[in-house]
Amino acid sequence: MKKFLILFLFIQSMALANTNLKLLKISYLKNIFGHIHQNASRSSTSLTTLSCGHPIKVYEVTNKAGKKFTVFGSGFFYVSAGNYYGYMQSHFLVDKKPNCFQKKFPKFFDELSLEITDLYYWGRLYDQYSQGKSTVK
Amino acid sequence: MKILILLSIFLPFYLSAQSPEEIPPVSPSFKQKKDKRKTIEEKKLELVRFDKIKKVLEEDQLLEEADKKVKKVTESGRKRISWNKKRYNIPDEQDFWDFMSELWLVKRANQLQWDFEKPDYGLDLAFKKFLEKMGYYEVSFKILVSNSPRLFHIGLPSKKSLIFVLSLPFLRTMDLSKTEICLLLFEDFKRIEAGFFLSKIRGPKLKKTLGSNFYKKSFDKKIIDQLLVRYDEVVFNKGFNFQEQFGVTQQMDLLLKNDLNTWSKYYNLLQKIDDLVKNNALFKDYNKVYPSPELQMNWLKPKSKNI
Repeated sequence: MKKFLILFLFIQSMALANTNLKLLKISYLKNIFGHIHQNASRSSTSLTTLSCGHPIKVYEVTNKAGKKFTVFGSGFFYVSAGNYYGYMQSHFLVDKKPNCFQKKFPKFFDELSLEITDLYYWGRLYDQYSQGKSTVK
Repeated sequence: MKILILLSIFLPFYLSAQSPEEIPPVSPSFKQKKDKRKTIEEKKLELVRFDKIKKVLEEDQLLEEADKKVKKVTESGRKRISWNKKRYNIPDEQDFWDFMSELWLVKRANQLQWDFEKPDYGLDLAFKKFLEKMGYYEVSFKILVSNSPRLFHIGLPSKKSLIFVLSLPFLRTMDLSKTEICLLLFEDFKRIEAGFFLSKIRGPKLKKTLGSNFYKKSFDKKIIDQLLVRYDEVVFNKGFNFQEQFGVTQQMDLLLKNDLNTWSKYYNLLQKIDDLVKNNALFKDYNKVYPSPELQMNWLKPKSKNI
């Protein structure tokens, strides 16, 4: 057991030594719910589901070769919330605390008694949407 | 004695573990429950009766100060009550429909099968360009691709950002191009704009509830459950009537006639849908929801004049 623990700590420290993280900013989730993904892909495994307005740390990642990255894949940030480190779509995040639906109507939201599955799917819904906005040229 | 010691140790932990709202009041009266929510200043003001020491205050020229203090505390109390009351607000039409449509998508995730791995079809960019070409600016939209043939294409009620759902089997069977998909979405956009879907699900009771407040009242959750069922009815069964379809087709005709190439693509799209509905049993219910591509083509055809 002791050997296993030492090995685990060694692997973890090796992984951290390979990449270097620098905190870029603290952003907030603007969607009703959202997921932190294991990889920079919308279909990747969800590590955790967060609620609107949750503060999220956005990092700049430096790899072994010294190359710096802020955006991964098709517009993903490397982020952390609590103990979870992973990827989140950059357009889900805002720099100022958003006016969230569940904060605006807290009692109404509570009355809906959403289940964990609903929260998961709500996060997935935003992953699956193709969003856009027509603009004046 | 032993029990008393144990009680004195564990009782404070038990009480502190509960949220302030759940702490049982000493007396069951509501007034005492309400007292717990009062600020320290308000409680202080209740203890100091300025009216009884008016004479002393007058002598010390502190009457104005006391008045100021009373006013300040009363104002903060009023703000506290109004803040608490606001927490029971029910969203108004502007906030409600986007939320409700998403709730329906979440609750019907298993039936609609929209959570599946798919490539980026580039529909967002294509539809953005299409809207700009048609002269519609600052229009936000969300497109969700479903893997179910139960639903064909639909624009859900929304006020802030348009929400569209497209069935991948439906699009794939007809092998539609991006322009044709954009035309389908644009048709749905016109239906949202006209409020056809909303008029079918918004009953008088709901209209009265939206934008109201349920402070010290119970919220009737049945309204939401009934609304979800009404969404199902429109999307899967009842759909739109002939009059609404005629209105949408007329609008499409009017808007697309400036660009004959796009107009003919729209006509061909209706032809494709008509062929599909007539030949493929999987999509036979399309006419129930959107009556009917054949009629739409007839409405689009230029009327011949008999001389």
